[in-house]
Amino acid sequence: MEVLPQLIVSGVVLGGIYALVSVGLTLIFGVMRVVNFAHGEFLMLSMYLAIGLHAALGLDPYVGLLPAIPIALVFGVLVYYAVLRPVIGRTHVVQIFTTLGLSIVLQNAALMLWTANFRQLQLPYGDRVIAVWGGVLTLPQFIAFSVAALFTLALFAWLKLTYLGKAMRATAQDPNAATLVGIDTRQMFLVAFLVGTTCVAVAGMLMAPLFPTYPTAGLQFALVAFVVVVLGGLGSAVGALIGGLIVAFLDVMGGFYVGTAWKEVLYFVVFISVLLIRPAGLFGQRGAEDLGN
Amino acid sequence: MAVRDTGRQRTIRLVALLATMGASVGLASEAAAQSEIKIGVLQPLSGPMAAEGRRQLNGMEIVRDMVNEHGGIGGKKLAWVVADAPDATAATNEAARLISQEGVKLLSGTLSSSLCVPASEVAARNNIVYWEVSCVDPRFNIRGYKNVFRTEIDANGFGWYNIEFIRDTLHKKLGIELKDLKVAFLSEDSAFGQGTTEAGKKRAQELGMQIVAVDLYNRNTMTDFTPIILKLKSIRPDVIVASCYTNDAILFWKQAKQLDLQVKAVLGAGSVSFGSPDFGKSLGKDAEGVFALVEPAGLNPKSVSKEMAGLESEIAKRYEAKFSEKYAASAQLGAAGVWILAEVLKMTAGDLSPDKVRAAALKLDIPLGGAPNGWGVKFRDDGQNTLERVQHYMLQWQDGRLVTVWPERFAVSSAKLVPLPKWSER
Repeated sequence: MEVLPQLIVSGVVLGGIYALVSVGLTLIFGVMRVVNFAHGEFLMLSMYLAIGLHAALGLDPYVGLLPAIPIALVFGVLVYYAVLRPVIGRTHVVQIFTTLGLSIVLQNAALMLWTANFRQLQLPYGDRVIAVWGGVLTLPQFIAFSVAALFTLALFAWLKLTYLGKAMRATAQDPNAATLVGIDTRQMFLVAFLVGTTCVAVAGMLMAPLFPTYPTAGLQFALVAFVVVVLGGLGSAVGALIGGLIVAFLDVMGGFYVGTAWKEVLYFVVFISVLLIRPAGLFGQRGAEDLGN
Repeated sequence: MAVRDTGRQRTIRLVALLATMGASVGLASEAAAQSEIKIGVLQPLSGPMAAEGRRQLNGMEIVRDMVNEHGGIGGKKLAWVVADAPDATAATNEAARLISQEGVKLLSGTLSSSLCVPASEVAARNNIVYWEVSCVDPRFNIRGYKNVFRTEIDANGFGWYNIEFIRDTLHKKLGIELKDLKVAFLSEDSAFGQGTTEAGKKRAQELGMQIVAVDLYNRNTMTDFTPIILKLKSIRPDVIVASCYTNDAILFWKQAKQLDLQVKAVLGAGSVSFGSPDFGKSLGKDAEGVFALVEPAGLNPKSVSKEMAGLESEIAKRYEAKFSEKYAASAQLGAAGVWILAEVLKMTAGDLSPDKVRAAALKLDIPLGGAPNGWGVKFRDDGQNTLERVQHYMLQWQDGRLVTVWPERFAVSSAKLVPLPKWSER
């Protein structure tokens, strides 16, 4: 096995996963201006859902996506009305404490319900290896990447081409102006939150066969997702994809050529450099962080 | 005015009454105190470590009750004052409270390395003995304190035993001379991983092994082991010595299979790593052949003295009857720690003054197999139980179970799958 092709394949796969986790976050962030600190916990719950559906009904996680998406929507509506709606438009401190609180509640609920044990969803074909470009990846990795890429591109197209997508982007760009031209921004907030929640639910279902599941499993990805979102630009789906790939490549390449202990140093150096030159991120709208307050 | 006077009188009467009651309660507890040896016990009983903390306290209680049933120590009974210490701040505050408010003259505990160092600082400042039964932070014994004792091994011991297993048996089974043996260290970068790895490296160097790689990573952000595995594939170590937690251990071994990493053996210390039941459950047959250095469990009963084998099974029986769960690692550490403490206190006739406890502890000399869990006791001058006496065991995943394969006198099975077959042939 050649080293470089394998690093590229691994980087692309990991980048796709990072992008799928981040795209939901960037949408919620971009449209609602709410930093959802519970995003990682949504991911964790979805991974448990994949394990639960597999254990109880024998459902393959890829088939499990069918029930998972409506479940995520219902969950999203509940969380939106119960937790998020009251804090939209409030100060960042209020929002941060709210979503951070939600994150702690969900983590501890998972701890109570499913204990701190580590679980791994095992699929009969989980170890099947596919050779691509001189590197290898497993079938679940391949599926995860393909679905992630398709999902991100579809989301991008939806935002660009449909009326709802345009209304959402308008809300992201300037909520006040959007209201003036007759867009119901409150409704856009709900739509953005539901789309974001669905994305992370899909990510969790796809990741359950790849990573161990435990109550704090979402944290390690949430941290990366925040970097990806800010690097790519708030509210930009393409930014999430490119940002995810950049961070993943730095992870993998830096891990090999410099050492795994250094990988965070590498991507944070790049992160800070980009922010110095383009404070709104690679694909972000300039001044976006000040809008909507 | 009259009303207020009556009120004041009533208050005075109430205070007087309370004072009398307090005095009598005080007298009663003083009387009780003379017939008991009061020990402060700190354990995490809430928060994320609560489950294991409770188990350890339960194990400690079983032995305390057995000691008391057999007449206590010099006619006095052992009595606990328990405090909840879920984190370092609570450990410090509760240690101070137990000493100043409850008047305990000896502190014991604590499940975790994050608790034992801060709690024992308080004990040292107040010049009382700190008796640690579980934590493994190497810093515990190197602060120059005269009155901190630890019955359990430290992280240096983990690293030491890992290499000792290779020296004693593994390299022979592999048919490789020590000086030709290529060892790679893989380690998460917290105190546990680094401490274990540093000690392992040092011992491996002393023995002339070839250290071909040392890779550190942050377990909280480790999402992909590809870089490390590719590096290991090009270096081709014979043995990987890993210090992981559970999620990273699972991910590492899963990806090792996926990327076809071929090594002759892999081993790692700790019940949170390859020794975790979750490791075996998560990986199924792929876990077979992996070695785990774990706290005493499943040892050969013939390896300890007859008396101690009886005692250990009695402790286990009582524990399982009282708490309806299996008697395992955390509880065993607690039980063994209290048993050794009782042996020391027998020598001081229940006196907890630091000088007497220290003199007795340093004098205590119990050979391997002489304590209920197969350990021995010989405290070093810094209060650490000698690593050779805190016997640790190499277990191996065989047919979905962890079985003890080393040292020979404690083994219940012999090591299999050495060297590990190719992934395609498993």
